[in-house]
Amino acid sequence: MAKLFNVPRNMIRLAIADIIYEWRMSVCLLLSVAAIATPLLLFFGLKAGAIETLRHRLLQDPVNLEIMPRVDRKLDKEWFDVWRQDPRVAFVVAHTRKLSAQAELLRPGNPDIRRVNLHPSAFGDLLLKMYGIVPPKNDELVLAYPVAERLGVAAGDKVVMRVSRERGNSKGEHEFTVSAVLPAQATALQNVYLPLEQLEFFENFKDGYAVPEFGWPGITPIAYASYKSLLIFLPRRLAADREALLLQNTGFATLKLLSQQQAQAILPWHQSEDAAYLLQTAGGGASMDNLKAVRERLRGYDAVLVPLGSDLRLQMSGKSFKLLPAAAWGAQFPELQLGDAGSLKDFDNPEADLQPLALINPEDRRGMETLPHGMVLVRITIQNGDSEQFLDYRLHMATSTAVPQGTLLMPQFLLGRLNLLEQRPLLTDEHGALLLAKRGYSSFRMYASSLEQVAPLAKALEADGVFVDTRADRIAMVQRLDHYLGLLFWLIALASMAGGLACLLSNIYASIERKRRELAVLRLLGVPGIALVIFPLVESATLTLAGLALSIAIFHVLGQVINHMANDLLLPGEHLCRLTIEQHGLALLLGLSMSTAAGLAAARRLLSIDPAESLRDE
Amino acid sequence: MSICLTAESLTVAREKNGMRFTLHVPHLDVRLGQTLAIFGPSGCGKSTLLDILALVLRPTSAETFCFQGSKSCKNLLVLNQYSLAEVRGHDIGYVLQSGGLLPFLSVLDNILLPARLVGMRMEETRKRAYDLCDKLDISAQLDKKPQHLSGGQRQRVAIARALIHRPVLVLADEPTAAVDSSTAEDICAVFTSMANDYGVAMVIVSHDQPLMSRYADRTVGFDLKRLAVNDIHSTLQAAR
Repeated sequence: MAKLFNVPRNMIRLAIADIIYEWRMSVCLLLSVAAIATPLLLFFGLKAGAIETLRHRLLQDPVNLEIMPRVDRKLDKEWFDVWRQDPRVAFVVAHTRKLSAQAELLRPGNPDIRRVNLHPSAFGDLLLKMYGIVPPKNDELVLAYPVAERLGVAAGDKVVMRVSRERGNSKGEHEFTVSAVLPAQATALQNVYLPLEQLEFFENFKDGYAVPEFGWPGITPIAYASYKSLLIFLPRRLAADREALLLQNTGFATLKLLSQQQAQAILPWHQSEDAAYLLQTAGGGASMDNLKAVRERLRGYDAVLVPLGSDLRLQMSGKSFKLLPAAAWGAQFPELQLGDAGSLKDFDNPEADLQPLALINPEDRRGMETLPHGMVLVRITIQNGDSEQFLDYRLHMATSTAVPQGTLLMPQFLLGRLNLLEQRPLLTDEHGALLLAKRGYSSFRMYASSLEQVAPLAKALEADGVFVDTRADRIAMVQRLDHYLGLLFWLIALASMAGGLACLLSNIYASIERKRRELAVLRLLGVPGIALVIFPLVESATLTLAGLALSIAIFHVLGQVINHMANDLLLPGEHLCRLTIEQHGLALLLGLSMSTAAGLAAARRLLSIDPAESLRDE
Repeated sequence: MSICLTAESLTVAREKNGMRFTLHVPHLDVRLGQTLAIFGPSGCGKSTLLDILALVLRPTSAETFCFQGSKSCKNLLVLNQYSLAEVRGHDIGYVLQSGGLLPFLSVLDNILLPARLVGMRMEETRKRAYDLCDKLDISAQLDKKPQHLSGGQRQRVAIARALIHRPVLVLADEPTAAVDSSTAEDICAVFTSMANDYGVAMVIVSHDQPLMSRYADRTVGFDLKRLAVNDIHSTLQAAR
């Protein structure tokens, strides 16, 4: 194996010996390469340094990565989940309505009060992360510099946030600890950052709700009854004008006369031969006021009103039940012999959801797990378009053989409140009362993962119906500058490289011509023609790399001078003229490619040398 | 005496600038330990014959053209370019008109070059180089570059380089052409003594017949015939 490399090894030795022997020529060629490469490196260094500095400055300012929603729009949890997974998004957190996110901040004992904009923060907050600040925990705030400066507070200080509603008649105050203050360059706005959960308290308070966590007074957002349709039984059919009246200002959109079979399909136990009507809403639910309006129009007609929900179902122990009202409004179903199932008053009580009750057939009840106090855990589901809403709920479950199997009867008011699930999410308080849950968020704070992702991300959001503002124009300007300077560089580089190649080629070619006899002697000594190629290749590569090394050294010296001269324009850590390790590598790679091309072109001439003729020339 | 190279009915036909030249070698053998001098006037085909013997030119035709190398006998007519280059590198040494030394190597490196190219062990080779240089009286010149030597010294260095890798055949092309007569005598004496001392076959091509006749073991000339204005026919005579 060693012998296999004898000839190549010796050819390399000979090439190096020749470079040293002809050192004057070598130095000339080396200087030629340096003369071509140095201005190129300087130009590229200036381009890369200046662009990188601009880019760095853009990146340093998180505002350039920020995606700002133009208008408030309802965004649900799923929307945030989807965008949080998007690789173009570095950080996103839900935000309340902008108008609700304002409060007054004051320092105890200081008369100065600042009106501040509240913003949510969470783990991974890009703005805070860039300044090495940990997101605030509950009862903590991060203040923008102008706020902290005006109030004269620093990290660790206590401040009070005050919020008011009803033109200042109702006020809420809560004490927070300043966990950090953003530096001045972060923002000039009167911004305060706090956990989203606590920001929502401010919105809830402004909406009139109580915030027990902060001890702020207000109403409890009790769920209200909302029905999809109203089944009406009448001893006789109504006149047409009376039927039309049922649709006037009642909240219902359609009226349909049902056959007995159709009525029984809805209420299986109903055996009456009365006329049956079905009033239906257009989209939203019918409220208690709507029902009252219908009742008013049917006063004196001996009507029985049965408000119904949408396709409400109850899941329990793997079984699914249809939910129906246990009593008509103002009347009980005489056919339904509920007997000893409990006080039927409970089923006709508007406050019934405070004591959630349901009736079930004993056969369906059998084997069901019972919680303490005789409660049963169920899941209420409702199909809403393509999605299914659900609520886990606890019920007192009474039994009656009068209840058809597969059906669950419950107070009509409870049914109406559960039916609200079709329109908005619900939750229960510790007593089991149904409360309105937050529907979603109005806004968000979002940052793109890189400058390049700002424009695509904004476009994607707009395609999703969320119109946003960005600093994409500033970013695009720097990118365009980079692009055109890049083109300019490559044009100059190509011209210079062609010149460099010609210079290298002519020098190496001339060198080969001068050494033709010596190289012919090598062939005579048994060196195969192809091995002679190594000679110009090594010479070309060595001199090119040495020339490049020299030009890189000169570049570094001149780069320092340029950076020093531009010191006034630069921030610490910035450079006007700079090349990265990768760019150095690229320069060497290009130089090597050029030297190889020149070496190979010269080597073609070598291959044509006939050793016999060279011997004769001797 | 062992024969290291044999040629029978070998012909080379060349055409250049409208002139046709044919060299015919009815019989030639080159023997180990002997010096064979080939002489003749300009244009008789000395260099063409040397090219053939140096294996850089293939004969147009030949009945026999064999080389008894250090390892085996080779039919040179059937060898390809790479095998011929290998034979050149291992078994043949060359002394060119002005030495053919590489100017960018020192004298010692020039001498060692053929041995390096064939991958000989350097320790032994260096000893042999010093031994050769002692015998050739160039020991004091080892670190110098060839251009700092006299013509005679360059030829001695070339002789040392030709012998360093223990070839069986050394070819010398007009080795005395570039030196004065006294140095030429010295060089010829060196050739004959080296042939005897190292058992190498020496083939010297020269136009100086009197000088060669004094030193060579055998001499051989050419019969030159002009068959037409543009057609020259040369035949190698039998060696004497």
